Amino acid sequence: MLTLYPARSIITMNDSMPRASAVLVRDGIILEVGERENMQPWLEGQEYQVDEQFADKVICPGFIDPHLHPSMAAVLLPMEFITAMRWKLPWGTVEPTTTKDGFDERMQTLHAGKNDGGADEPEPLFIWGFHQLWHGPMSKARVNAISTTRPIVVWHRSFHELYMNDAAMAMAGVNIDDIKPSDQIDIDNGHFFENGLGYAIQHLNPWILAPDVYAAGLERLKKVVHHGGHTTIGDLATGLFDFETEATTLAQLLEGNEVPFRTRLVAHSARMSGGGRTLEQAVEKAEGLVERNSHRLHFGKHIKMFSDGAFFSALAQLQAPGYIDEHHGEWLMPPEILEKNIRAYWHAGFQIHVHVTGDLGLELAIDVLEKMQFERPRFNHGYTFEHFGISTPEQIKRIKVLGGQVSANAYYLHELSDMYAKDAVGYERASQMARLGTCFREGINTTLHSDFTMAPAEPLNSAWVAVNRINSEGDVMCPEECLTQQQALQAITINAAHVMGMADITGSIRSGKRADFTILDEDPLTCDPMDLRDINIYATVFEGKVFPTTTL
Amino acid sequence: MIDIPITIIGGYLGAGKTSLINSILTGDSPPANLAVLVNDFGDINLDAKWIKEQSPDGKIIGLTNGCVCCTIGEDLSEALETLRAQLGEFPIEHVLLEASGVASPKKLQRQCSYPGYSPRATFVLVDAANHDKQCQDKFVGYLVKQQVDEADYLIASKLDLAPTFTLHGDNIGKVLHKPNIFSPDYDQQDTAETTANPHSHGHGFASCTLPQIAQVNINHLRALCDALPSTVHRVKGYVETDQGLQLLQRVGDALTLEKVEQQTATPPEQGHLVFIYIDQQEHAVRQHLQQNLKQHWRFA
Ligand SMILES: [Zn+2]
Ligand SMILES: [Zn+2]
Repeated sequence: MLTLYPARSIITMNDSMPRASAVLVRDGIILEVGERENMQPWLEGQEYQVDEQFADKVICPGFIDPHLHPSMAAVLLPMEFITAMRWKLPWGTVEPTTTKDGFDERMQTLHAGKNDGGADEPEPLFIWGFHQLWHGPMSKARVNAISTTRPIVVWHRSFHELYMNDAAMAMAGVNIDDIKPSDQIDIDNGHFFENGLGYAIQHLNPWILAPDVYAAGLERLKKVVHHGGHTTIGDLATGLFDFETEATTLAQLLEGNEVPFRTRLVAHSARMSGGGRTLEQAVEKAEGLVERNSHRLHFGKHIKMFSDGAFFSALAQLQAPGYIDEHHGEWLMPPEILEKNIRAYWHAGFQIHVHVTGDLGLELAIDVLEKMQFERPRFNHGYTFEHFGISTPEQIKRIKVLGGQVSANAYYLHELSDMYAKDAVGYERASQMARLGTCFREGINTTLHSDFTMAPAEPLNSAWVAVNRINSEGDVMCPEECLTQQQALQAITINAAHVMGMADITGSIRSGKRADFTILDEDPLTCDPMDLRDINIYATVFEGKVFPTTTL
Repeated sequence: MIDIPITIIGGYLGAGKTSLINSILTGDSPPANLAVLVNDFGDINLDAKWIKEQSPDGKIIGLTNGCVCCTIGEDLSEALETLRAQLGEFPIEHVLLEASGVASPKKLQRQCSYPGYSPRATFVLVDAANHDKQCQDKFVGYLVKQQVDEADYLIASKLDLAPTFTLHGDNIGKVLHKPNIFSPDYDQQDTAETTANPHSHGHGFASCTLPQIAQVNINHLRALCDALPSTVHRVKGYVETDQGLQLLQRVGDALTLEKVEQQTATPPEQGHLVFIYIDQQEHAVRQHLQQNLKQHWRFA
């Protein structure tokens, strides 16, 4: 059976035919895109239907987020959000809460809205998104004021700290006598940070990391991914918590006819080398992962490495002049180990994805790529710089020459550039974070990601940031680095497909590719750039099957 | 219940953390009921296996670096909780923690103040052969110096490859010579500012200067230096020997003797040696010196 979809417009992301008005699909594959009158030869003597449901819609290639973390998301998504930024979620948009009183009111509403279903014990309430910058100082007393009987846990936006009320501490079995003043726990305030957070998590595990909770979280993730308009995602560190558990659970929950997207699984390199394996054995293990592949889940010759620390924690490694307060970032592994690992996978022909946040972390990853190219030149190797917070124009030239790709979290610019300008690195470097215009001008294959849960898993939101470069205060940061709407759409479709190593099957609409579409109410190339993130996603099509977003 | 002490072994990659841990486990008297937490960084894990094979009764738990964007799945707390949960089966009395090569000792020490546990001294190994180079490296130069600055005690390794080793920074007095790291000498942390623990009070260092009264044979001098207790951090001074006036410097394991040309240098009026040692060990050190050095040096 052939299906012909006429549309108000089709944006193909194939430069040879940028626009079309109809697409013809058979068995999940695009037969032809173009004008209906040219498709007659396909239809001659064939059974076909004309599906008019997208006739007044705009069809785009299915969106791709090439870097998010399903496992992190599974932990976060069962929680309630109270955030300073807007988060669009399938079960309702979380509007920004930017004041102390607003935060307390929301907590109160969430508490009151909990249906305990006649249970003896009130159900615990987990809240994520607190940030003192907007929500004022948090304390146990403040949470106790909401409820002394319902366990309430308030998680910081950064994930690095949390607060509990007395009921939550009792539920978790926090033994007050156990805790001494020097521990990273402020027991009077119910505040757990650094390794004290580790202590809290160990005690909250039954509620946040239990298999059924994790599975429920992944169900929510599936909805988030669908609602974001994705048809392909990348899990950019399979094994974040535990490799076997994750690989097995993802294989169960992200596979099946009702799952409207495919997942590129990129293993966490440290999880390949653990358990006493040599580096050679680690590479062998990584190569063998493809045996686990199913229709929607694919390991490939991809591997994830880490250079410097988290951007949200100001632990990126910076070149001179560094941070204003003179603190230094962190390395996530010794540079020599990073190089050794990269060398092993480079020589085995892998596409290497390196997490880099600051310009010194980036410098290391570029230096290593340069060494690899000297040792054993490779073309089309796909070496990708992930996150790409702070960079220099000179580094971008080197990336170009060495054949690297960039996968950027542009959301850093939106949420952090104001704070970074004032407190961390100064205006010049803060305004130029996510230097994406330069990447496009150099002709580097460049994509955008959410690193969800670091940013909302909404490709149109990432595109909105990259096009407008508006920060949390509403200021435009470095308009010279803005992307055009065309470039931004490229970034979340065909360029992302290249980074995922899947450009042969998805990322654009052309004859022979999978029928992966994102169906929009408005045209993302001609709309007001400020409206980009508000375009309604009407449906997605995954390999020819329509998944309306309204059924959720 | 008393907190279980955690001894931290830090230092950059290649400084010899694994060798040190291994020598403890295979030494004459490895402490009873010791748990070892080793860092599991890719191929370093090989070392973990190696340690395990050599330690039939020690309990070894491998650590990975936890989550990179956040601290969910924090390995250290998980390992500490695991040990605590198994105290009935494995009565742990002491934890030896191998820091990751990129860890800040100060930060790690703060993290070791954990319900049921308290940090003890932090020993940072310094790769004498590569110290200069590492301190100038554009990626890890700051880190290596930071690790030295934040250490309670320093142990220099690979001194045979670097006889002229000198440590960067102000921490020269903290260099130990073949220490028994479980000795009660190191129960307290050296400097209060390396920890959030308000109860800790550190060691000070004391020194004494001994004027030389008789010429000494150069080989005998070497033997005397070798026999010094590990609580003597540093020795420096001029010594009249059968092979002329020598400038003696001893840091950690490293002894250097440099002949002083009397024409070029201003010769000291008299040979003398300065000894720097932990003040709490004053009595023992002075006793040792008096017994062994009194033939050639004068005691007040
Ligand atoms: Zn990530
Ligand atoms: Zn993380």
